[in-house]
This record gives sequence, structure tokens and C-alpha cells, in this order.
Amino acid sequence: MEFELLAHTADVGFRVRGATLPELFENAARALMSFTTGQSAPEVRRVAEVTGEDYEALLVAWLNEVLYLFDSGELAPAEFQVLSLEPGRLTAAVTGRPRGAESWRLIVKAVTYHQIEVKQAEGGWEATVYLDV
Amino acid sequence: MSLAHRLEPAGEFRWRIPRDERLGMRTDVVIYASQAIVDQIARDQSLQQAVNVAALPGITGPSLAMPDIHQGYGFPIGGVAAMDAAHGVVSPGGVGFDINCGVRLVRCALRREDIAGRIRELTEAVFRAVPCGTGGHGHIGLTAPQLDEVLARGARWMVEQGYGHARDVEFSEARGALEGADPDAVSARAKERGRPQLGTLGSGNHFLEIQYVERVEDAAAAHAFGLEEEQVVVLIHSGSRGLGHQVCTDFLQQMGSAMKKYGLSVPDRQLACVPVRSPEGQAYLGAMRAAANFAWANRQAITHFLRQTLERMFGRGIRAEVVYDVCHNIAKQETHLTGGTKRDVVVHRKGATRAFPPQHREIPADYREAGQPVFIPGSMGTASWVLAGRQGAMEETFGTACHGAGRLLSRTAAQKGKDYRQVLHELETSGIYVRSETKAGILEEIPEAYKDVDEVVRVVHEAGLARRVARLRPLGVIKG
Repeated sequence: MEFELLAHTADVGFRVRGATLPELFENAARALMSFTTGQSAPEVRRVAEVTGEDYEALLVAWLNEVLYLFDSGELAPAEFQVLSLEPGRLTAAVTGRPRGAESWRLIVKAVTYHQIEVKQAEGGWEATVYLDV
Repeated sequence: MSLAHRLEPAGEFRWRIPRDERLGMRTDVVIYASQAIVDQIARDQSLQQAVNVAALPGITGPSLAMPDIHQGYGFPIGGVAAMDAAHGVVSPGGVGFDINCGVRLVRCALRREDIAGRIRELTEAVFRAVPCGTGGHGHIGLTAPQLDEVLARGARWMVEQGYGHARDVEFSEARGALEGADPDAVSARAKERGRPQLGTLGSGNHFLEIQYVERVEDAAAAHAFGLEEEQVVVLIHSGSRGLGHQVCTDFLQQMGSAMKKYGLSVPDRQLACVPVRSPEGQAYLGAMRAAANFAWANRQAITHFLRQTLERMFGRGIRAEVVYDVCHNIAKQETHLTGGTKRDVVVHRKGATRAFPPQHREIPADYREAGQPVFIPGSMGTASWVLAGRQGAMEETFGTACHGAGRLLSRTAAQKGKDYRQVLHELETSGIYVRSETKAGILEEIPEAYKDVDEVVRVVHEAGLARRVARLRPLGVIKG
């Protein structure tokens, strides 16, 4: 999975792609977790359900959920699988190990709505996300 | 595209982008900057962001920006906007994720020579006493009812619990707690994130610096603030940690649909807003004030751990007194004179500091002649400033001045071509010992990543918003 870092004076952003919308959401979560150290083994599974009025709001809510799972110490998310995705609601499985030594390489405080975008692009879908660090 | 070509000179150190309805502006943008700073501002999207703020409903007076302005998300960092309390909006993005991120200055009964040769030892000892990183747990275990007390009463409750002296809150903005905090408006998840983090510094640009007073520029004000040359002081820069981040996240999510209900639209979704008087606006303000109180309690707890460390190293009874404590990410209801009439406004300060002038009744009696202390942290290798608020701020900027040097380089650009050991070595050669939780914590915050703090301070001084009182130099730096 590849994503592109976007320059921002104070914070950091990324642009990520996916062949399908579920793949885009999975890849965006991987991009977020790339700011942490190490990927843990997928031992624990959590099912996350988030809502949002459109795909942009849904993406922000989803990434904030992943960030919360990491920050609360519940687990270090390693794998993501979208179980269902419909307008307004996303259900996904997040697996990882209970968080141990894993930490942020670049500490992300929150996922912002700043210039948030989810759109159809060549070969699938593309999203732009900025993080508050 | 930068809007720099639209900037018109508007008096000394003042620039204006006149209201343009085609850009959705309801008012002018006014920026305080020197020519050198204007050239830097043109490089990022901060002017566009100041223009977007000028489009918010109920904005009173111009969309303002301080000389440390740089690109944020939604509001520019360094942005100030006053919204009419009756007809205007409140915007969580105008406060930011780190609610009541702020700065507290503590003066110590020590001179630079007293700690010479012990800076490393002192920095390491404070580093152990005040945990840093995200998810880092503090040394204070709060029960759920205790957390609600913190949210309702901030630093005042901490002092009652033995984490400080009554004097500490007398010398804090809002006396260490905002009235009208609503702990019930703070989500269970926000409380869960915040509860273990009381007494922790946080990451990013947050820090604790052991400094000394290098130069006094205003002897009377410095005397009032208890500062003299060569004196050791400690500058604490921290906020409301995960609790504040979650409050902002929660309300941004709710505001999308609320905006439709009130027929509002904004140019950037991070500017989501609702009427101040709406149930959603009142709930946000209640939760935001609770998060602000958590931040004041946090800086109080850090002060307590600092005092314990100083006592262990320099003997019991060593005095460490709070000079003042200011917040720079907040929305506050205040009364200001605009266009000849007194109006109640909600002043959004996003990376900007309240700077009330002499004789203002919200300033401690000891400082009434001097004006409210304002602290401007520079980057870790340079200097920080103590300023005092002036009447010009009351007349032009809703009693506000700048909050820091302001970033110049992105975090990725700052790290490029820099070696961690080399940076540490360079800082140590100039007499600054740095202790950080992470390597990135140092590389991203290198001095070159920031504007020249002296230039930023010169602008607010010359523009009459706040005047220079003392310049501080770092000796020991702790970073997240």
C-alpha cells in the first residue's frame, strides 16, 4: 500500500488510493498507522462501527476510531477489513496485539476535516486527509 | 494560490485584505506583520485561512492575524476572531484540538550560577517527574468523580487537594478555571482518554524549559513580575491532552448535521460552526470550558512535580512561584468596545494570547500598573519573551497578542538532511541540554523550523499590542 505525504507548515497530510471504496478506507487506516512504530501481530480482533453524513465524515470518524483504539492502549492496529460500507455507516474489523511497546513515530493528536476529500479517481478512489500533530 | 497580492499596507506593521464578497468575506482581514514576515506568510495557505474566517456568520470587527501566523486547519494559527455572542457562531475549529494549550511561567529563587554544572542533572530529574509522550500515564490516579471535579474547577481544585498554593490560581488567567464548565457535556471517551494523563506534558511542540532571564527591557514591569537578570525560570507549555482532542473530535462530528439545521455553510469543513445560543453551541462551550479546566489542572500538576524536584535537588523551602498562566487556544465570552458600543463577543484565539492592558480588572492587583503578562516561547535553541499587554490590544485586537514564533518549515522539511546527534551536539555547544522522548521530537522542532521570535515580538511591541519586558534563554529543554 502506498500513500503520498502532503506538505503542511504545522501538521501533516496524506493522499491515499484504493481500487474500491472499502480498500480506500483500509488503506487510509494503514497510512495513519504508518506514523507508529512497528506492526504488531493480529491477535485481537475488534469490530468498529462508525457513522458520518457522507464519505468524508465517515473517513474522519473511521480514522479517529483507529487512532482511539491505539491511544487508549486497547491494541496496536495492524490489519483492517471493511465488513460493510454504506452511505452513512461503516463497519470494519480491526486486528492487532494489545498495545505494548508500540508508540507514535510522529504523534498524531487527531484527524481533521481540513481539506478532507474522498473522490473517484483514475483506477478507483482517492482521499486526502490532514492530521493534527 | 496565495492571496499575498491582495495585501494592502494599513499603517505601521499592519496589512489589510479588504472585504470582498466574491470571496465570501463579511469583513476585512487585518494582519500584524513586518515586511520580512509578510514575505514568509505568502508561502503557505494562511492568508486563505484568514479570509475563510472572515466569512463566518456574526464576525465582529476584522478577521485578525498575529505576526506568528502560519497555516493551520480551518483557522490559521495566530488567528483571532470575535463573534457576536447573540447572533454569531462558535467554531470548535477556531479553538483547535488542544483546548487551552497554554503557557505558565514559574520563577525560581535560584540564579544561573546556582545551577551551573547541574543543568543535565536537573533536566533529567524533571524529565522523570513529568512524563511526556502520548498515551503516557501520569503519576496522579484520578477516580471518575475526581475527574469531574477537575473539569468543573480546574487548577482551583488541584490546589485544594494539595497540588499547589492559593497564590498559584490568583496568578492565572481566569484564576485557573472557567465558569460555566459542563462536565456532563464531555463524552465518556474523552474522559477515558484524559483521566490517566493529568500531570503529563504531551508531544509535538509542547515542552518544559529551564531558562534564565537574559535581559530585562522594562525594569518596572519586570520588578512587578518578580523577574531580574540571571534569575532561573521555568516555562511550561502544555494543554488538555487527549481529553481536549476528543472533545473537539466529538463536536466536529456533530456539527456537520447541526449546520444544515441552521442553514450554515463554511468554506472548509474544519470551520464547522453553530450559533453561540443554540443548544449545540452551548453544549460545545460547556465541554470546551471543562477541557480548558483540565488543562489548567494539568499545568498545576506539572508545577507541583517541578517543585518537588527542585526541593529534592536544592533543599526544602526553595521558592518556585507562578508568574502567570495564559491560554492560547480558547473561545472566551468577553465584553469589548467595538464601533463605540460595548458588545458581548465570543473571542476565538487560535494560537493567540489574551493581552489585557494596565488597570484591567481581570489582572492581579500586583500587576495592575504593568499590564497582563504574556509569554512568547521561541524555538528551543533561541529565546522566549515576557511581554505585558497594552491598551492598543484592547482597541484593535480584542485584547490579544501573539503566542509564539510561528512555524516556518513543515515537520518533514525540518527533518530533511538533519542528523539527530548533530542537532543535540550543536545545542549542547551553545549551552542547551535537551531531553526528548523521541528523536522526531527534536528534529521537527529545530530552531530553523521557526520564524525569528525577536522579529515576531518586535511587531507586537511596535504595533502597541504588548510591550517587551524580558528576554529569556533556555538552559535545559524537555520535549515530548
